[in-house]
Amino acid sequence: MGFYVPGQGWLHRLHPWPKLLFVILGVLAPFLLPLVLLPVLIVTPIGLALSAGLGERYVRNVAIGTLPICASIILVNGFFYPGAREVVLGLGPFHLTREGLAFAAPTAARVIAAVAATIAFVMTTRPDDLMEALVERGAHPKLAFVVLSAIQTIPRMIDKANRILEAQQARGLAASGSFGARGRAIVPLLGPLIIGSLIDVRERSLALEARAFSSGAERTAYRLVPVRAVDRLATRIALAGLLALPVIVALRIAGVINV
Amino acid sequence: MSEAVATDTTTDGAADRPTRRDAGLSISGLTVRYYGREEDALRDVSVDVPPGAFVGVAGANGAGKSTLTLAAAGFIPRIVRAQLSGTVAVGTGDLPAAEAIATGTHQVGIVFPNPHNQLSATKATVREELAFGLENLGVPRIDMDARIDSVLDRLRIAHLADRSPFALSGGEQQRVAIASIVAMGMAVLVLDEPTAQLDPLSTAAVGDLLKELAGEGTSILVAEHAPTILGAAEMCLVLSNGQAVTTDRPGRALAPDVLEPIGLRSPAMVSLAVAADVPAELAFDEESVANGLRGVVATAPEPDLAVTQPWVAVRDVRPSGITVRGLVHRYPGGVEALRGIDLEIDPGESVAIIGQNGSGKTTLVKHLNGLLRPDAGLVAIDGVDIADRLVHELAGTVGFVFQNPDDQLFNRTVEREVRFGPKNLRLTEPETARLVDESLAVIGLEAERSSNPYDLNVSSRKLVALGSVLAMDPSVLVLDEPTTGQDGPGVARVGSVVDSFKAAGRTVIAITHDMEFAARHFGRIVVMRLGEVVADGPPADVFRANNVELLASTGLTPPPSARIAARLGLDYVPADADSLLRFLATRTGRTQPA
Repeated sequence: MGFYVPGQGWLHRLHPWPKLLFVILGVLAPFLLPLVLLPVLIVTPIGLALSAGLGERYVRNVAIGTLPICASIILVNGFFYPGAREVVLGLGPFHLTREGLAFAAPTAARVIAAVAATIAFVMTTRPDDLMEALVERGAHPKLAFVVLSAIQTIPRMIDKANRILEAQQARGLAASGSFGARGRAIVPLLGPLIIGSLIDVRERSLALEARAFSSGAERTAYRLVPVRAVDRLATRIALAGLLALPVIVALRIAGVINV
Repeated sequence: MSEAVATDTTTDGAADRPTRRDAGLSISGLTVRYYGREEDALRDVSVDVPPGAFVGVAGANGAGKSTLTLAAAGFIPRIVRAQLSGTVAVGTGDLPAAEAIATGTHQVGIVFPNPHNQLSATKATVREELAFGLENLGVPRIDMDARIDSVLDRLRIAHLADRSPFALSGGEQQRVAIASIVAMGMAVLVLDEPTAQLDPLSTAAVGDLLKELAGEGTSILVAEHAPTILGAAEMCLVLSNGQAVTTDRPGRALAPDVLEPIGLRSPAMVSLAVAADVPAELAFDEESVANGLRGVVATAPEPDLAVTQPWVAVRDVRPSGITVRGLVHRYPGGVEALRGIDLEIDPGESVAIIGQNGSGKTTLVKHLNGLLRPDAGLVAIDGVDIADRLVHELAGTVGFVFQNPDDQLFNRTVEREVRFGPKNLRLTEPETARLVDESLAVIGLEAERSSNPYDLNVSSRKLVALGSVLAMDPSVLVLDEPTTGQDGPGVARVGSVVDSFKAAGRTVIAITHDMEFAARHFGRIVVMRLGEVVADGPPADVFRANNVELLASTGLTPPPSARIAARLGLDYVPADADSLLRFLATRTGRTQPA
């Protein structure tokens, strides 16, 4: 489901609620805290993830998640930073500037820190557990359902698209090869996908009704996500961190902290 | 979970709902017309399903069965918009089902035909999927597991409890869909073709479950084609063109003199029971029917003299043979779906592949045109390994018809849809035109040539998908569950397509759960179990009495007429009721000339 990878590590076992608070902290902190802390903010989520048994796949996901953004941040700012003068490298009409790089590098580093934390979170948290935790804290069950089915929509569409591709290839459609062949394949592939999705929406809404989705009864929950002492402690630490953030920002603006 | 717990829950559940015994479903004078249609989908239909009653609904596709189920569950007119008159009452009060649902007093559970779209799509395991409805009803957490386990057990899917609902085969998903509604413990249960994708023993298990639930006081209304389910019902309502033809015991309601005038075939058991003069209430009791047939059979039905028109080859297509050797296929996660299959299919042979849900049938046939590639072993067509041939290159040789037509239809008209295949093969216009005409004739949809496929019902859409593959004039035709969701005439139509392809010397391979269809139209039966071939031979060998245990081990039974023949101790394995009656008549020397 989503990016979740089943596992037994401590991050997997940590309750979704403190984990969510920590990931919010991990995303906000790099952008709000002083630059000197950035290395710590990058190393911490990656270190925690690795210590929780997320290995090669985690590193690969972080790389896939950050490389395109970081590359574009560095290229765009490096070459086109407004008002930059100090040229490091000239490529024909384009000039890589020191000012551009000086701006791009920390930004890219902040993105890496935020993505590293987010991916550690989504790889270790079952979306349904997360939603259950949110519903327990007052979120509307229907909202939780909508979010969960949205997460499932992509794999469902991919699944459907594959079945359509198979069925059309079996009717002689060449879906690979030349540009022309690919172009001709668009309608036969998209047509059933769109019509089929409309049929699905209709059938699924009937089926949800059949499952008493709008019964109006006070909903109960099947999956139990236990809250342990360590989860409560983690929640307090995360909340303290989140409360500290605006304080630190205010102190920086007031000039009390000067880094 | 133990059975004791399961039984306790059921009793507790009933105690929780004191109104249950007074519930029940009563439909009277129901007329439904969909907006924009000029004819009523249902006209003046009445049916009474008191607590503990089990009523089947039979009829051709388009006769109004689904409309009746939607109205019974209150979905018409609240969710599916249509004009409605007459009453649908649930429970003691005259609270119409639509209002009952709107006001949250859910008393009607409904199961739809398409299992895939009945999953909540937010649950990671079958167990949690079943809990979804209970959560919505506000069932206390402490009661959930017992209810879930009991239903899983009764539908024989306890082994699927911790699997992902999405990774299941169609038949397995269908049982999960039924289970997820049954678990909710509604006082009224309405089902629309709940067993279309199930193997014979799973279908029988659903029939038994419905009977048990009725015994516990649930009102059950089920629209079906499967004789096993209709036969398990107490009463049967037969619909034709939106009107009730009769409501009677299944043994009488499904008799040839009722069904034939409205274009349907009587189930084998009922035909035999009528011939044996067995009382209607015993029509589905094999022992009684066999005993009745021990007497003299006065008349034999006329042999079917219709001559199959062979498919006329337009191109120079040679019949092709298929070799499968040591075929192994593993799914991601390491599950071995095929464990070393060896098959030699000669040019022009017709092969039905049967076996329980999840036994690897679809996985096997998907290797025949390269949709799946072997993890070990090889697949060859006319002796040539197809490992490096692309699917669309093989399409002209191996025609593959998928189970769900909606995964491929996209054209504005039926004719354009049927043209799609030949166009891809770049056949000449005269060839294409002839193939399209011939395909439309064979599938019987010439009159719908310029209709939009999505204006046709799903069984006609299935025929359109079949026709679009026929029009490619393939030398091998592969059909994945072609009779699913088809009514009697639809099954006969698919059968005649198979026969005409066979008659032209083409190779035909079909996956099916319809044992009678397999025995009637195929020269060879391949039985699969857990990714292996466990029996292979002509229908008369495979469906022999001494194979019953082997067949049962993979969810199958011989066709009804073969079971009766076995009870009679005959050394003859008939495909259908007529063959058995003719055999008996010949044996008693009283054959009447046709």
